[in-house]
Amino acid sequence: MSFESLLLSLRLAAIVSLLLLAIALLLAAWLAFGRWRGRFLVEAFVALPLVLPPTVLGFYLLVAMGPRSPLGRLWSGLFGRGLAFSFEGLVVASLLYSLPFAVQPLVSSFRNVDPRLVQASALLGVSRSRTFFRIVLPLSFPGLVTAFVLSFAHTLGEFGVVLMVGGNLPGITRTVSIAIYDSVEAMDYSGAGRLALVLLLISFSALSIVYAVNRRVWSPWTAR
Amino acid sequence: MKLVPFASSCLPFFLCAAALTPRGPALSPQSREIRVAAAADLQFAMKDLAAEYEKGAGNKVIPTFGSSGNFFSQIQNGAPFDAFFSADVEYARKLEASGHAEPGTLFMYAIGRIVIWVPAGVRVDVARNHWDVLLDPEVQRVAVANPQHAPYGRAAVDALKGAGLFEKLEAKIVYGENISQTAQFVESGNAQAGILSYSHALSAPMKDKGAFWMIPQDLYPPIEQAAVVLKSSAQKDAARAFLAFVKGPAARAILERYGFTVPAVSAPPKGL
Amino acid sequence: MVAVDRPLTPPLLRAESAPLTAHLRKEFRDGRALTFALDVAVEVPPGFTILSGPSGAGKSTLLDCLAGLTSPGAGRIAVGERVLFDSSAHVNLAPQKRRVAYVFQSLALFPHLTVEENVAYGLGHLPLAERRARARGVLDSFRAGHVLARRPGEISGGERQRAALARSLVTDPQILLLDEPLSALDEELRAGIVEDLRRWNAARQLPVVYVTHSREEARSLGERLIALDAGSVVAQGAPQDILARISARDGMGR
Repeated sequence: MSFESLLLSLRLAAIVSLLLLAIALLLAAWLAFGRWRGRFLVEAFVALPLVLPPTVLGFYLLVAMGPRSPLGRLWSGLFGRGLAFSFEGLVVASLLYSLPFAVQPLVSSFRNVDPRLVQASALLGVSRSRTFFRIVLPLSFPGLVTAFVLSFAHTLGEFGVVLMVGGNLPGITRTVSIAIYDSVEAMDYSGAGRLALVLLLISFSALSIVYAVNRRVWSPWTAR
Repeated sequence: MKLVPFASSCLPFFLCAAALTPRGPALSPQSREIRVAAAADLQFAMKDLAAEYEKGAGNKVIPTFGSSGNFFSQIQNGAPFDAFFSADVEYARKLEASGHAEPGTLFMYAIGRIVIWVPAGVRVDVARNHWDVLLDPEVQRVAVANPQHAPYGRAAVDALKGAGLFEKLEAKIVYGENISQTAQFVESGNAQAGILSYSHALSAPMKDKGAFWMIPQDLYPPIEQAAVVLKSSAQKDAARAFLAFVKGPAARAILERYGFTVPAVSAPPKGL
Repeated sequence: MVAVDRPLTPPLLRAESAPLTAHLRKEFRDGRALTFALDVAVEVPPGFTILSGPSGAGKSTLLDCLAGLTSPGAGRIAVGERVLFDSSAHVNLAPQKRRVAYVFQSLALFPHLTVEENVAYGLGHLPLAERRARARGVLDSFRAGHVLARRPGEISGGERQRAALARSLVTDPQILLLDEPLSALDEELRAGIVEDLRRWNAARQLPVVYVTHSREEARSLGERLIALDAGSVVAQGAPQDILARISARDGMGR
């Protein structure tokens, strides 16, 4: 039973970081290369979860996803159950609060690509979108890795927002960080310690594997 | 080509996500899962109740613990619990009034008490000196549950005020999010004393670790604890069955073991 | 280096060797104050035109405007009849459409692609076999065919220069812009590349704008010279006459 929450957290983190990679990629591309003057507003909005306390974020998310909200009602109309206090609700909440962890490394990586390379591609007749996929993206590999790993780790560890939006339902929204907290409250320190240690080992191994693999791949052309 | 190493490092995560099929509520009609929102003071009692219940019926009771006030808000926002065991009958009544509780299911399952609890290492004698230990310089922090949403916190503050000590102690008070966290503060030694539920004081992790004194009932309004079945529940009959069990003799014995006063079933909740 | 007569690349579509004409004005402001203004009228006929001037004269800005990487505030840029930019007619072709080859000083070779992939990059609309054939062909004519399978990080400065030139030229451009292409190379290498360039353009007669500080290159390549200073053209014409007048102070070295 004690590993149910761990599996739940891993599943949540995996789904969220994969989804985020796709969403953040497009958003970061637009932020890095777009032409609209108001982009800085979007950048500030994306960065909000970094500075807002989790309870504020959780509150607004609950309001936005609750049964009385338009989103909540749409969801229950489609699926017959609420968005808040469900796993899907956690996915939605996690996408938002981990967004800056995915977008910022990507924007940074994209902006660091030598602009002359992008210009050279354009001069050779290649469209902006194809240039993005053939030149910018491959050269931003480290940023992609960072974005993925950071959003995975952040989602794995989040507590406040998950508690408010998820409601601590075992097997559905009781993530491992909440389970650890619960165990401490029940004075089951050995149980809490076990979970915490396993979480630590998993996170550390995941990070090590990703960084080790990618070190070999991108060093050739960054070494110069 | 350069995507291959990245994809392969994503693979463990992919497998993670794919292998874990969504877990919904238990499927077979024989074994249901009854999700219970339980007040934090039932931290230990509820586990015993659930274990006893599961021996007989085929159903499982899955409790989530927290402060009654928090659960009240969550339930109003659609939290999918089947039953709510509140530490304050008022919350249960309000849910009935707002249509979130199944009518006719509300009943008072226990009356709680508060105690001053001091862990073994602190050199004061609470059994003899009662309130005075809180004023002792040995006691730097006093843990109390948050009165805003924890009924045991409200009772504690009422008692402190009744004893004329709240202002004097205000600087020393640390608030726990619910009565369980409050107990954990004291049990771990982070607070040198606390006003806890009697049920916590009698529980296995705490009973040999400290001493306590029962605060006289006339200093605070009685803690009337009531349970309801929730209207949003998908298994109302299973929930009702569990509540019926809690009214029965085996459950009453368990509750009394944890220091609760169990009203006779026919008596209506006070204050009606 | 012994100059061996290598076969030219397979005959490409003959580029219309039309002259480049441009007059444009581009302003740079800091708030309301004008910090720099490029205001020029130039004519670049088929063949090599040297563009010289001290740092900050506006050479790179001019090239960027011709290539479409930045837009002038006002003006007109055309290659023969084909208009690339015209502020009054609201014409502003994207760099993709201008058929301008531009080799930056930093070369901007794609570090994650091989030399062959770099050179073939602009030929995406052709079938694979033809792409590779053309890439090899133009690399051979610049004597860099032996580095096809290597990455830019693995080859020498001279080979990178040739690869960058090959990449720009294989797409059959109408004009060629070269921003100090040889400044990082030594004498011998320069002479070789200059020779290859001259041979290459002898057949095609494209307008080439060649930015350099080197008098040597100016003398050996230049059929015309444009001297730029502080955003304006200070001289335009035959190199010998102008070089005699311009001193080293104005940015012309050896």
